[in-house]
Amino acid sequence: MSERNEQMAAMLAANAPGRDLAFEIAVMAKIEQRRFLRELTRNLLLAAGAALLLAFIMPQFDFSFWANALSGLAGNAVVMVTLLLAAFAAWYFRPVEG
Amino acid sequence: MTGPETEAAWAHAARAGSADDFSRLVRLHQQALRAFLRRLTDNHVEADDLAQETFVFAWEQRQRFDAARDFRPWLFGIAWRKYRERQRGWRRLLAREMAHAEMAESVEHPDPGLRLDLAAACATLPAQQRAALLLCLGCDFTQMEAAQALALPLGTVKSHVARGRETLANFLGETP
Repeated sequence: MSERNEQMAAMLAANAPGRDLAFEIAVMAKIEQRRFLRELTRNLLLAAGAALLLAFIMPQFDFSFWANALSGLAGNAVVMVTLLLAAFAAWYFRPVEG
Repeated sequence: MTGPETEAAWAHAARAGSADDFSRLVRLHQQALRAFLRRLTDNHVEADDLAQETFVFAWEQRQRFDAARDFRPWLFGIAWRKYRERQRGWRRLLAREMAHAEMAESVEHPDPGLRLDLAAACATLPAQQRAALLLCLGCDFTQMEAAQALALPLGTVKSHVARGRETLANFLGETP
């Protein structure tokens, strides 16, 4: 590279912006934001599709037999869930060792 | 750790979806890309905005990046296309035309205070010529890399660089 080229290159490189951490963060934040929005849109569309599908096929099923059969077990289910929650709470709030 | 091999590894990993490696590429290239766009647009805010758009677009289109090639010309190619897209907006077209008319006046009657103003000198060059010159002289690109980034034949880039250099030298009052 000739001296004149070097001079021009130096002038072109002068006043170049410095390394900017805020710029890097802004870029990565935008990328994350877009990714989040894309995933949110996809999930909402999937949920809407599933809801539509269910609304369409649910009337075709007859659940009266299962509803009658399971109604007798409702009391037992409440007791079972309460016991499970109590066991989970005992484990979760256990005293810290040491 | 910014050698070409490391950069290629980061580009490869980013292409596979690693945001961490992509952020390393952003860190590596942000200065040069922003400097290039600042010279191209002559507007710091617009340049930084374009640079952000470029990086975001590069991330979204990472599958299109050919891992066998260099990442830098591909990235600067996106920046160049983004700049051209933005230029096509009619408002900017109007502003540019007005700025160009003012610039043409100042070139006809050179002001001694303007002789060292490289930004003003660059603004007199056609966009493609300016971009080729900025890449080859300002960003240390080879002419082949510049041709790849600007999607131009190598001969055209060579001619743009030679003409741009000559115009700048004349404008800055040097003998070519």
